[in-house]
Amino acid sequence: MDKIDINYIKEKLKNSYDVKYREIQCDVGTIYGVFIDDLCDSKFISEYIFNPLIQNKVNTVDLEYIKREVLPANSIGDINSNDEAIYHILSGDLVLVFSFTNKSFYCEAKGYARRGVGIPVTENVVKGPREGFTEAFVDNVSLIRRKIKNPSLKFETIILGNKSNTVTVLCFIEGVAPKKLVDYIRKKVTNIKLEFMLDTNYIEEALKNTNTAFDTIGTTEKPDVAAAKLLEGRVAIIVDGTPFVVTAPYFFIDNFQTPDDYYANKYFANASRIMRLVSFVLASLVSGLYMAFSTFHFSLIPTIITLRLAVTRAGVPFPTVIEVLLMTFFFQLLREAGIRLPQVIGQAMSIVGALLLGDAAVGAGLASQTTILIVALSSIASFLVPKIYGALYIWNIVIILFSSVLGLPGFYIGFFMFISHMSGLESCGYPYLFPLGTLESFKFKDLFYRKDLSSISNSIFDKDDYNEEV
Amino acid sequence: MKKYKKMLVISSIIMNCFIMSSCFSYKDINRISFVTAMMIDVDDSGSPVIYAEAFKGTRGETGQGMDQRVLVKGKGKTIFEAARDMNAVSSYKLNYTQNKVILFTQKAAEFGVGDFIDFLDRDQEFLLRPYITIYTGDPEKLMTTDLIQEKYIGILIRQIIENIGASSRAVTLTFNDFYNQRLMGDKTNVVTIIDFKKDALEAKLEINGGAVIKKDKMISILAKQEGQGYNFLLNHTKSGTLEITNPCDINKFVTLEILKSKTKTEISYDGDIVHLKKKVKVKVDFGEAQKSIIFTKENINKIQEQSEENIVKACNILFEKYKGMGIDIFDIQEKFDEKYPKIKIQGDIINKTQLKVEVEVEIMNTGDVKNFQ
Repeated sequence: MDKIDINYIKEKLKNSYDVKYREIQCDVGTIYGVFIDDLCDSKFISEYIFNPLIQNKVNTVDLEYIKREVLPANSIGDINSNDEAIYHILSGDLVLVFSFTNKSFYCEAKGYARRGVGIPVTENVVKGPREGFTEAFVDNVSLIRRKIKNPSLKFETIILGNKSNTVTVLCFIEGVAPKKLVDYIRKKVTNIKLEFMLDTNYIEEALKNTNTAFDTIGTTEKPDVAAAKLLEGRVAIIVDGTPFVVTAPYFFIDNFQTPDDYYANKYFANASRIMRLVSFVLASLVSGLYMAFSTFHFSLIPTIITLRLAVTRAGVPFPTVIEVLLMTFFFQLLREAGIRLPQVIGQAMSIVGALLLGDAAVGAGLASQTTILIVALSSIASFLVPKIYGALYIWNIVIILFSSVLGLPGFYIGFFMFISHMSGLESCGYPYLFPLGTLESFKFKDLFYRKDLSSISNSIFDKDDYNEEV
Repeated sequence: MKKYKKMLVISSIIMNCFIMSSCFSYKDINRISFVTAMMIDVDDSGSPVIYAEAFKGTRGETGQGMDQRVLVKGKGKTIFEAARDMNAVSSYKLNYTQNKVILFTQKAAEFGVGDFIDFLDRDQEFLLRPYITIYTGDPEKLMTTDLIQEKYIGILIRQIIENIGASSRAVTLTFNDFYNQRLMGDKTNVVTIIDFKKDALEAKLEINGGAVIKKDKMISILAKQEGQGYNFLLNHTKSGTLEITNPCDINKFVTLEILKSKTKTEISYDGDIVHLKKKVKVKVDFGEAQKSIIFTKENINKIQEQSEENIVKACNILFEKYKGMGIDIFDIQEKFDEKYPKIKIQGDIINKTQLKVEVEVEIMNTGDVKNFQ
């Protein structure tokens, strides 16, 4: 064990107003207390660390006695190097350095400002737990612990980011999560070379497929969702400083599952899930089909609809493809503006946007009512599956373009490319479309509709997955 | 190598699709005139004259857009040339994918439709869906008459034909069936005749029997009254009515509504005579009685027997008429060829055919007055 050098610490942490040094003189030498004011509970340090130390100056030679009998702090540990001392200081611990001995130790005294457990903004539920993760990883760990009281639930810490030293926690249930999956993710996460880490996306990018708009790694703000994933055998990754927790692997079908599916009446939940699946089909294909039918294959449209289409488009100066792309772009503008603006202004903007797109565009002859209906239908349908909104938006454009060039054959090309692209994706070594299109045994009883909770509350992985080595 | 293969597969698919897309090309729906009815006539020299009714979208004064009925006429030595001639006066290209009916004038039908139908089959815009009809009046009058029921004649004729369940006497035929029948058996078709209703209060179209077309030429007319016998014999009856003398008063009628009808055909050949047996099973509901009726078992039996007799009579009269003319409109030759593919009968098969009609009418419900309001 190296002697901890207080001057080294001072040199490293110089020019930081919030780093506090407290010296306590005793008969055998000096005790240095180093801590960061913003990260520590000053009252706790004064009352339960410095005060007992001052009261027991005579006993300071026996450090083990101090740890055991004098300091009431709940977590005290030895420090073996200067860098470790600095890490603990920066993590919100108090480091005690003794001039008269090589030993030094830290006392946990964290007391920084943190947000309370709130309702997650991105995952609303009608029924079920409302608490959400916070930015403090310790809170997030405790939220999961409270859901799963199981000794096999493991939390492994990994420090990532050369400059930020961010605490990242790998969370899984031993024996439920396949070992090869845990090893795969651990290896991937450990190998992340970053200067700093501010969000889970740094982890997601390392784990997920590149060159795709689909998210092959899931995130959640809800501890109950994370707990459910862990119980299914997946792995969660908590990153300090963000309320989003990564879950892996993440499959295509996960995009259609919501917490409400498991907390609400089964039949209504299933109807909602089927509606989300239909929405996905609508959002990705309806514009392309409209494009193909209304510009190539008139014989496939009923006469009365053909007549209405011809009438509503009369006077629109642009070709249908430009019109559809233009309106899709307008909707995208509206959506972006709605997200970026404060909520109060956002509502006003929505009204202006609805007027602009619904009426003014038709009045100005920029678009036909039918096109607006189709684009609006496609956009609204994509809002039902918000987790794949980005992918749907991009693929929708691709399919529209193919359909506008070749009609239905083009639509088929776009559609097949879309399907083959999804089929080629993987999430942590598992096919993204799992269990669709795989020869794995069909253990996932929570696919297009939810079965009874008693029959789906188990691991989603196949028995073979537990026997495979990395 | 893997990437190269992937690119090769994608390129092949894309190239294939260009080939598959054939002559279809991008066309905005508002820059096309959609033909809903097409009428083919011939001039005195036998050259085709085409009339087409189409719709197109136009900019309305309010900016909302409106539909416009467009009538065009074209002439040429061939029907293709005439179709091109029509396009010369149309602001937008005529598109035939929404065509609902192809009408031949009686003159054109009697001249022979053989010269005109190849184009209608060959061109990819012409579908097999439309109905084929014969119009017996003045073509220009039909095209220019404003019909209150429906702005577009093509759509109206289709609606009339598809509403045919109301009558057991009307004859209907799609273009697809026409193409099949003109090459099968006796090569005889019975095509719907469309005409203005004579005693209507306003201009109205009606189905007025059928035109018998043999080897692409119209040779006879099947009267509207004969339609019932024809439909029963050919198993075309879907619904309709049977009018029977009221057993309680011989000067009055009762009406039976046909709910379901099925005709089974059996054909046999004894080396000399072709025996054609038609087994007709009809399920009817009691529709109405003039004056009144008492539903005794005896009366019901009488109604049943008489309706069966009427059907047998209608079938036999029609059969005998066409037997006399030597025209097989009953698909006897087809049925015979199916059963005896190796036997060839010299002359008209109908002349060597004996018809036996067995009818079974089942009255499902004698009916109660269900609504007093």
